[in-house]
Amino acid sequence: MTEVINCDKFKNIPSLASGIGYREPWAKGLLSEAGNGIDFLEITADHFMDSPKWKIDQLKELSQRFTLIPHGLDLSLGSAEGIDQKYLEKLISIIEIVDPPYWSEHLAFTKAGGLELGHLAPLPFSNEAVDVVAKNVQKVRELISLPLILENITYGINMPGHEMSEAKFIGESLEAADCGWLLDVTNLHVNSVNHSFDVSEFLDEAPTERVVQLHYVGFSSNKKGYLIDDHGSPVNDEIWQLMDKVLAVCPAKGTILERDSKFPLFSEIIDEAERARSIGKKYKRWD
Amino acid sequence: MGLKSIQEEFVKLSLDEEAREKVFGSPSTDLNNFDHLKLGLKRHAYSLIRKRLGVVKSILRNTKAAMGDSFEDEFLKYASLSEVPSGIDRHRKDSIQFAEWLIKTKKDSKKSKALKVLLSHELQPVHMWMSKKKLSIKFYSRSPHQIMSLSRDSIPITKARISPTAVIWWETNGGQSCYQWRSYSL
Repeated sequence: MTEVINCDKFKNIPSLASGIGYREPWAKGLLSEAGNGIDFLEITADHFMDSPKWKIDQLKELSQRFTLIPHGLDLSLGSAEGIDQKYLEKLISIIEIVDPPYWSEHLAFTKAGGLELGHLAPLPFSNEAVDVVAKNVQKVRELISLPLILENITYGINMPGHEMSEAKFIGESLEAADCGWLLDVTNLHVNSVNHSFDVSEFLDEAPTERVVQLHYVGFSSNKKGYLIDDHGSPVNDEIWQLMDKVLAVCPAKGTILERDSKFPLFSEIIDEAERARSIGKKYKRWD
Repeated sequence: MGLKSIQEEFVKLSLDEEAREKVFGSPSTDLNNFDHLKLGLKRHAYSLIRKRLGVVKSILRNTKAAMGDSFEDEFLKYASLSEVPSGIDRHRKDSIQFAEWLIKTKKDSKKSKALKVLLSHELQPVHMWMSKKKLSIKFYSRSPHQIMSLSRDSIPITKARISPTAVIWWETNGGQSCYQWRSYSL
């Protein structure tokens, strides 16, 4: 097994093993005996913001049984105009309820010029973007001291202003912002096919020592062979192979299955989570 | 161009078709770059609308069933003319605004009365969520339950007869759906 350099900062984060992103169709399954097949949950923080009491009660009930990792969507840490303070306050209230060992967001932006995209947009792989991310994370850190991990996203368009490779950009940003990496293996695979780069070369250059958690899910493709991260398919063989490659070299504490649509039976989700657990066990990432 | 300007331009071009036509309307000497940006932005803009459609479809699933393929066609028309809602409740606002748009544009169609009932019924839990209401009572000239049954049996919803109905929605605890409803013929 390749020796893994473990980033000291994230050593104290417990190994969580195999989890799933919490979605309403899984609610009953998770709170039943079948839920024993899941080790931890990621919650989309936005789904609980400004929500009625029953939704917050649901969150508290889940937190009694599972470690919950809040995953933000709209903090827009890559926005050159700064972060959304109102969104940050709502995020803090969710984190306070959940009391997680860490939380996550994206290396992306969602807002600019008073307009909201409603979706994650890529950053140019540039020194200015690295500085922006670092400054925004610093602002956040004044209010949330918990470890933060940032996710790599898919990009359909190359933003103007690239000065380095994506792998180098991720490394520079995470170091400047002092964050861990939420390595989305599906996004990595999708980008490698759509933008024709080699995953092994990417991983050689990327800050694998900072990986704290993985995301994975199935992808689909259009007629022209362009891959789409629609989060609505069973996990493809390519993703399992890449997860194996990644867990061999990255000190990940856990994996999260991110199924968002075309929900299958809960038992199929349990099976996919079990397969991810087995891969992590093989490389002694968890027991 | 600094990052702030790039991001502002990107967001504007992603959301505004007119702005895209204006920027890419004039010929460029560097054809390869022009094509790459134009195609990428068009694809991005399309994926944003598809994402909105996906969420609205899940909120208005019975309306989608009743309208069939025309639901998507109508949403794409609405999306090309409307501003993208913002904030945490953007998708809920999108559903409400789309429903209002459908009612307005379809007011002269045979389906309009049944469609109005169905949309109002489907949006009750959305309104209850946003206003944090635990109880809601609505009165309709036609039964939402009958309209949904017609749609399920592939019978046109125009066949829904006049049937004054009260629908009570209430918040429940736990489980998959936390808003339940029951209808009563009047």
